[in-house]
Amino acid sequence: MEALEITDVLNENVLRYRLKGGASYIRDKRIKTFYPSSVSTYSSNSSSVIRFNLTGGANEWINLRSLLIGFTLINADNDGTKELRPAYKPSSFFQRMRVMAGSNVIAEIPDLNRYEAMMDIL
Amino acid sequence: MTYTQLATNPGSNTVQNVIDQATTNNFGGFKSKKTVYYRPSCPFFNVSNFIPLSYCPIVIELTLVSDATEPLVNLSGDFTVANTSFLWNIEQPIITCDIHRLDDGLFAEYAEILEKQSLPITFNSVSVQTQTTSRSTDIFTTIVRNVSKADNIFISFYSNFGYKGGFQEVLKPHNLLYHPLSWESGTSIAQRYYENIDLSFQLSIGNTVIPEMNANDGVADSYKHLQETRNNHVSIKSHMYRTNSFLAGFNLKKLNSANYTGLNLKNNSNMVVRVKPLYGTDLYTTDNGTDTGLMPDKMYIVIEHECILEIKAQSVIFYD
Repeated sequence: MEALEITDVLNENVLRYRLKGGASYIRDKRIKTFYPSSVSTYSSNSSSVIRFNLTGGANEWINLRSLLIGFTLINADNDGTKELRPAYKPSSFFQRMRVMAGSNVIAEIPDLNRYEAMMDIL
Repeated sequence: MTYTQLATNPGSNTVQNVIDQATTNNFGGFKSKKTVYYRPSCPFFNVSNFIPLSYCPIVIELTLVSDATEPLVNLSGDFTVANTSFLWNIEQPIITCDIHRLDDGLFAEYAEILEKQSLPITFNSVSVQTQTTSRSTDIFTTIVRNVSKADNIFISFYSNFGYKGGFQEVLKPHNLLYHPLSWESGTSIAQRYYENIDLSFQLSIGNTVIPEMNANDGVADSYKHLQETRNNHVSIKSHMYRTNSFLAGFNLKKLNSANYTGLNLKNNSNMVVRVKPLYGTDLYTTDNGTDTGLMPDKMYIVIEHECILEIKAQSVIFYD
């Protein structure tokens, strides 16, 4: 049997003992909040499209894995007794999503609430 | 554990204190306002590379549902007009995200690269297609989206006859993932399996047929293929899967661990999805109480495909 080179062994993940690299090239991180480009109150029968422009200055790099969408849900029939009861997750309030990078449409999801429910299983 | 996991067969759960139906106590709402956050499932937001916002600004557009009652509980049982509100609006929507700054010297080097070359970013995107289907015939649908690297295809169904257990107030058209087997489950708490109301799937893409053999395993075969789309990391419970949380998935990649191994739908001829009963014709002829047939009313198809975003100093180019 041919002798194994040590470099062959080190390429095997199970026998690779290395410390993870640092990230000294990252100067800082901050959590930035982006607001819609128009009004601040939306409902299904008026102002139903919420548009966010995610822009930044030079040397601002976005980590999309940390992205969260948030909103305040208002009970508009608040007489002191009636409760607003969402049936599912916050995503079920939206029926469509469009994502653009530069001027390219890179994702367009109709039936967004259905899509989110499907992906919940995975 | 979510209610959809519990809704399937409360009688089979042995754990005490599980929720066996939606009531005003366990689906309580709020009288004034509530702030909520969620992480969108769109796979673009899973991209591992940072994106330089000054070169590649991102726009996200969200459209609210046109039917304001769709995200809310149905009026039924404990939920009455006296205790449930159906008027809502949204205030102060925001997006939060981590923004990083690089070392100035390194950023200057990247700026130079962007002037002469580009930063390519690989990510997944999705295309969604909806199809209205008939309760009493096979489903035979052509997928019209042409992409060069299709990784996975997911299919789900909706039918008004889907089993809802004690959760008919909260299982809605957008979150009920129907399978005809739930019809049998609805009539028997024992949830026995009845092969004549199971489904078989087949995808045809040019000369390629998936699965190659017309498997006769029905829902079990669908579960196996769904696992392949997520490297065997799907953990849905079997009784949920065959009732109100059914999702069919097909992996089209040649090698899961490598990029750009998805199926090219541009060169191939049409992709056709065929769904039919596993055995017999019970799915076409069973009296459902309104008319005949237990096949779904609606089919949702999601194609996950690989894309490349090429960021340059003066432009952003998208390849799908």
